Parts: sequence; structure tokens; C-alpha cells
Amino acid sequence: MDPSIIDRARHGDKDAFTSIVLRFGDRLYSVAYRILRDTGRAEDAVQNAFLAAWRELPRLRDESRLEAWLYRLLVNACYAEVRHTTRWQPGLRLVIESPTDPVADDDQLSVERRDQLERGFRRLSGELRAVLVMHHYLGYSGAEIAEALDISPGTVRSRLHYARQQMRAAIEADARSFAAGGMA
Amino acid sequence: MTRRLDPDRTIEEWLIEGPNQLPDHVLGAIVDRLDQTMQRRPGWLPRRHDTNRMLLSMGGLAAAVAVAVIGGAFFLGLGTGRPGVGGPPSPSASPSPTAMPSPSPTPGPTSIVLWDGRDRTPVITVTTPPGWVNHGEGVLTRNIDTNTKGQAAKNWDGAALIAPFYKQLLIPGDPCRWRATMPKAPATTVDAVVEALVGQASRAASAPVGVTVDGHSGKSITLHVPKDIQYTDLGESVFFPTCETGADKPTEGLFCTLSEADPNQCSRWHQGPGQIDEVWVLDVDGKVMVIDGMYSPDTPAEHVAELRAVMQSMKFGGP
Repeated sequence: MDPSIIDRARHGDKDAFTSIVLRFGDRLYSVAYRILRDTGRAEDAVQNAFLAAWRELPRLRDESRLEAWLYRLLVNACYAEVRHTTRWQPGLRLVIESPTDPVADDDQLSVERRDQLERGFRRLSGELRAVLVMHHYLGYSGAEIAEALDISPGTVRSRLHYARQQMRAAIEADARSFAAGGMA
Repeated sequence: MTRRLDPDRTIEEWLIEGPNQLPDHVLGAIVDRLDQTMQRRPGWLPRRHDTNRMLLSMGGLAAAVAVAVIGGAFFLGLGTGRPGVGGPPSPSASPSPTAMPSPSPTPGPTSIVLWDGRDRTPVITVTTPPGWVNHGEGVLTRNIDTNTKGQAAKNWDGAALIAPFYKQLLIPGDPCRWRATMPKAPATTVDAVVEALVGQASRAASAPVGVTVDGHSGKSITLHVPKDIQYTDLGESVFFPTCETGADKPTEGLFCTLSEADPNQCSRWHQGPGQIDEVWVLDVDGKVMVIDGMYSPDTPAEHVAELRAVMQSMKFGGP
């Protein structure tokens, strides 16, 4: 991103800031949706993240870190949304349909597997979701995640470990249920 | 037959699914709300809440100067300005006297009393362009939104003028270890003050150059707060945890350029990493006076130019 645009936005130029929103809006929205699994909440998180960015931009000292800084603001906005969701979401249960294809195709996720992944993912805390999405969706390394979220690399490794462990457990439980169903 | 699942690949495939485009209405909502969302400035402006504590602890005239340093003296009045005093950058403008009941934006090029000449010091008047707010007690700030009264902490863009420091000028050898390196004796001449500032550790000062203002000669020097200094940003204030604290501020590390009279209390401390001070040390009729023009790395260049013009416009008059 052209540093002069960031500098203009930092000094209150709304057009320059709109350029930043246009540049990063889709990316941030994609990440917010992956973390929150809800389009409305993702929209709210992105909006809150960009407004926080506008408010705090004068304090951004290293323009080269704008993107990582925006991700940090977004993830914080997502945490707030997750907390809000956790507090207010009624205790709905996902209804799992009977599996129609007991053999999962690696190239095409079955409805059942998506459902299982969805359910496993929703059990994760916001912190675990964020590192999982940044690693498996954005392709960020542990060090990059640590820098973006301002946490230690060890914390990233730990969170990623637990997040993958829980997601794998969800997938493997799914596979076992298919196998059990096939044997019955 | 079943195939072994690759969990990581499965997760990645699942994450790829989903929307990827920010809806237009969200973009519109963000842009619409920018007008109602004020940008925060770095925590440059000295804190207002310390003013009372400083007044109580120091008392009298010394306190007034210390208050000027922390930029919070919004409640002490000054004398009225003297009409007819002009100066750059707009000498043709009609100056008007400015009373000091509260901080207020100046509507145009205006002659104001920056310092009231107490303690047998000269009265200092300056000419300010629009956008400069006079807080009294020798403190001027360049604000971003001059329509917002009394919101200097939120509006300050980092450019400010503080004048003068004139009491017993104690210049520490190291602004970070300022109490440990405070000299026993004050600097009493222009050269002694400048030499002490040049010699300060933890930063590299510019070479001093000669300066003359309103017929009074002296030297100017540019000082910096290190950009990489460790700091704690508390919103409206910034502290330096690796630096020494003051007797009146036992929990707040200060980067201290000078003290007046009390070696355990800092009179001029700084508001953030990278802060730049253009310090003029003048001999005004035998009195050594330190004038401090400061700005942040983010201060717009035109505001820095305004600051220099305001400093150049100083007039020293009789009490």
C-alpha cells in the first residue's frame, strides 16, 4: 500500500482511508466470516475493526505493518462478537441428518462433514478460531500470526495445537460414526 | 473401502467455502461513520489531571512554571494581551488582545500574551495563526479541530510551544536517568545550558546555532526523544518505564530534559518516542530563558512551520 495514502489517512483524509477500506475490506470480511461463521456478525466485526483503525491510525508507527495491524483489530472485533454470541446465543443444537455417503470424498466435503466441522469449530474459543483461520485460510506462519496478534510464538503454537486437535477429533468422530454405521 | 482423511486438508477445504466480498452497504456504513469518529492523537499532550497535584506539591510561582510544562493550566488566568504587537507570519493582520479565561481557538492571526512576566521576567507576546490554542501559563498548542474548545488532549497534533523556563536550570546528564545524573549546580549562562543539553546521553542533539529574536541573542538546538525507547501508552499520556520516576510521580517513568530548582521533580518531560524539541536558549537582558518548541513525528510540516513562525514572532517586553 502506498505509504502516502496511509499518511494522509492518518492525518484525517477520509478519501485516503476509504482507499484502505477498499483495499482490505474483502480480505478482512473473508477472515471475519471464517472466524465467526455468520455474515451479519462478520459485517459488524469488519465495520468495528475499520472504525477502530480510523480512530487509532495516528498511533500506527510502522506503515509497513498496516495489514497485520488491521488483522489484529479485526480479530479483536471478532473476539467481541464471539463473546456476545456466546452470551446471547440460545442453546440451539445442530440436527445431523443421516449420512448418505459413508465414504468421505477427499475432493468434496460432504454435507455431514461440513456440519461436523461447523459444530467442532463453534466449540472453539475465539482465540483458537483466529489462529486456525490465520494459519489454514490466510496461510500465515506461526511467527506471522504472533506478530499480527501481538502474542508469543509459543502461544500461537499452543493455540494452533489445541484448535487442530479439537477439529481433528470432530472429523475423526465423524469418520468413526460412518464406519460404525457401515458395519451395522 | 474408506480413504484416510487428511484433517488439515479437510479443514482448509472447509475454510475456503464462504463469502469473500464485503457487502457494499457495510462499506457505506463505515464511510458514513467516519464523520462521527474522531481520530485519536498519540498521547503527546501532557496530562491535565496532574496539574492540581503539581500545584499542591510545588506551590507558588515554581508550580506555575511546572504547570506550564505539563500543559494543563487551563484555570489560571493571565494578563491581557497588548494590542498593536505584530509579527510574522502576517504582519498586516489586525492583532487583538486576548484574555485567558479558558483555552480557546484563535480565529485568525492574533497577538497574544504567552507569558505574563511574573517573577521579574519579561512579558512574552507572540503572533499566532489560526489553529493555535493558548492555554495560558506559557503553553500554546496547535490543534486539529479548532472548533472544539477545551479538547486539547484529543485535538492536539503534537506541535506546541512552552515558554519560558528561567529558574535554576538543572540539566541532567541523561534524560532517562535524570535523577541520578542531575548536577548540583544550575546552568547560569546560555553556553552552559546549551553545552549541558548537547552532552545529554540517550540522544544525539544537533549542533547549536546562533539565533536572534527581537534583538535578543542566544543559541538554538534540536533534541529528540529516541524513537526506539520503550514506552507505555496510557491514552492521554505516555510514560517510559525504563526511565526514572519523579518524587511527585513515583510510578511514572519520565524522559526529562530539565528541572527547575528541585532536582527530584522534572519540569520538562516528554510525551512520546520520536518527539522533537527545537529549544532556544536566549539571553534576555541578562536573564537566561529556555523556549521549547515541540512537535511529534506525525505533526504536519505546515504546522511545524507555523510553530517556528510563532517562535520567531516572540516579543519581550517590560513587566
